[in-house]
Amino acid sequence: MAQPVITLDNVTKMIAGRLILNNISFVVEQGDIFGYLGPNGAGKTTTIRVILGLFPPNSGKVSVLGKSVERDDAREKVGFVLEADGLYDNMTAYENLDYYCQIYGMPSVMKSKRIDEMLELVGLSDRAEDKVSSYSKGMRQKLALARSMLREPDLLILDEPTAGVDPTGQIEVRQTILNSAQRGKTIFLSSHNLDEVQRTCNRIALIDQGEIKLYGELEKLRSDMGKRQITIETGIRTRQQAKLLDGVVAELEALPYVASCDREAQKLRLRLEGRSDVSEIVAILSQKNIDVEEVRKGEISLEEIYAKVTQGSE
Amino acid sequence: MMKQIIVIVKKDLKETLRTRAFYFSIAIVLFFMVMLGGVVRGQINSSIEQGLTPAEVIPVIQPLMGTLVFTLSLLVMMLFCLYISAYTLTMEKIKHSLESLLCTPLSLRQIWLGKSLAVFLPSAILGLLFAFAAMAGINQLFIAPQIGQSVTPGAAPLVATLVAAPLIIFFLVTLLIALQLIITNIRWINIAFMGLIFGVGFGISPFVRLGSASWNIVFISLAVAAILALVTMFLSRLVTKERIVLSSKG
Repeated sequence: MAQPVITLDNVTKMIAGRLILNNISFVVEQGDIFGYLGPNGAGKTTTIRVILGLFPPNSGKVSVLGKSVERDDAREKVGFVLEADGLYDNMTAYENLDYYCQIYGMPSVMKSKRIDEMLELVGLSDRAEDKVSSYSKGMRQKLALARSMLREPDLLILDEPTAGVDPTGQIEVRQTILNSAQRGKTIFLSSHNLDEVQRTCNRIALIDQGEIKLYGELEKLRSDMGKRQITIETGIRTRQQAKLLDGVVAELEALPYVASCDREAQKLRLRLEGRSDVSEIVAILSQKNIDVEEVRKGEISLEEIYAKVTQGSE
Repeated sequence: MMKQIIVIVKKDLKETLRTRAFYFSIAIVLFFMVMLGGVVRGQINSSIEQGLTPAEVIPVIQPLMGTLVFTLSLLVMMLFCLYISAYTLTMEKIKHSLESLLCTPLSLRQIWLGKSLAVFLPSAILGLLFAFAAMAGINQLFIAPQIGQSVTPGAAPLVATLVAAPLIIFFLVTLLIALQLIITNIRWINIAFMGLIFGVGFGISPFVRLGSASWNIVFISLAVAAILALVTMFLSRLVTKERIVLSSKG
């Protein structure tokens, strides 16, 4: 088993008498790109603040890179991009990075080389001497990312790193994250962008109303949750056939093992429960003169997982 | 530890020098200096009109110079710390730069001390600089031409100026920074600032009358500094990262 990098063990956090995190536990292992998902107000940012030692938990234990977060040196090898970038507007990009190099106690000989490397990495070399106040949201996010990686952290904590960034910028930021992961860094990525998480993360946790509702390897979760779902590709061509397909939805839903049946253009998505009989479904469709071109099992997207778990909370 | 604190101090000082408020407070101080120069000039003239010899004028002028240097240094220090501290932290909290700083391996005490020193050092240095510049200017312009020599303050006001006044300002600044760290509402911060500054001013003023420079000023000032230190120590328990982050909501 890989080394645990972040460990939350039965963490509870209350703020102003309100329960924000309710007994949450998860482990982020070395080399993980860990996606942390949840609706607004679910407790994502509070979790990040707990991990970064900003909020002490009311109960439970939190450790980062093998050290309790109560210790300031637990953050020695942790890079971060918070929801608000926290950059100094009236300083240039170079000055912003230089300030953090000094805060981290980086030797002067290494400093300027490292700053140049980071600015190059995020594509801001030509704007290094511009004040941050003149930067777009995307450029600010990239600079915050550069700041987070200034001294080769072992763990990167990213809170919505592509929020407000244009699509090209999103691809660049995502690529930077993937490159960091390839260099052996562990990444904790809190995001609303399900597509981003699906493309980059190998493990996820889903928090809702302060509780971890889902946690594990993304592929495994997709296949486990998809086991009870089938997608039927039909060969409908005419409007009349389409009407037939609409009519069959109710009939399929009446089957005792079909929990739901949704039509999406030529596709039927069925969620099954208990002992199911797919051949009976195919037979019903054939009786209605609907051609079945393909039956796929277990196809469930992260979006569907998310919707299923957080139903009714947003 | 000290190295990182100096980094914070240097960055904040640079930002302070970029603000208009800093130069505005210098203008106010210069105005004060001209006013006080006028008071001393009037005192010398009235002494000479009463027929006192230059040797007899010196004992009259010396305590006046003492209280003037002490009062001016304290006033200037308070003015600068008010303007400088009002700027640094408020902006960092609004822009959430402080939250990022709190996520670094720096301890909360390092950040607090760094921010406090960034306000205290320029306030204290400028306070002393302006006070002694005023003393030199008054000597040069009004005293030396009238009585043929310069007059310096006695030991008590000098100790009060060089030791007690900076101590008062240091603890006042740490207290102001602590309040800024944990209070959300800018209006409440401003009220607390004004309350503290006027409180310190009125606390000392009954003992600092022009021409009555004695060791009382030193003892009273040290007592005020001690009270501020105690209040700061009490308040330090309330200064937590959580409180700072939660009070940074804009």
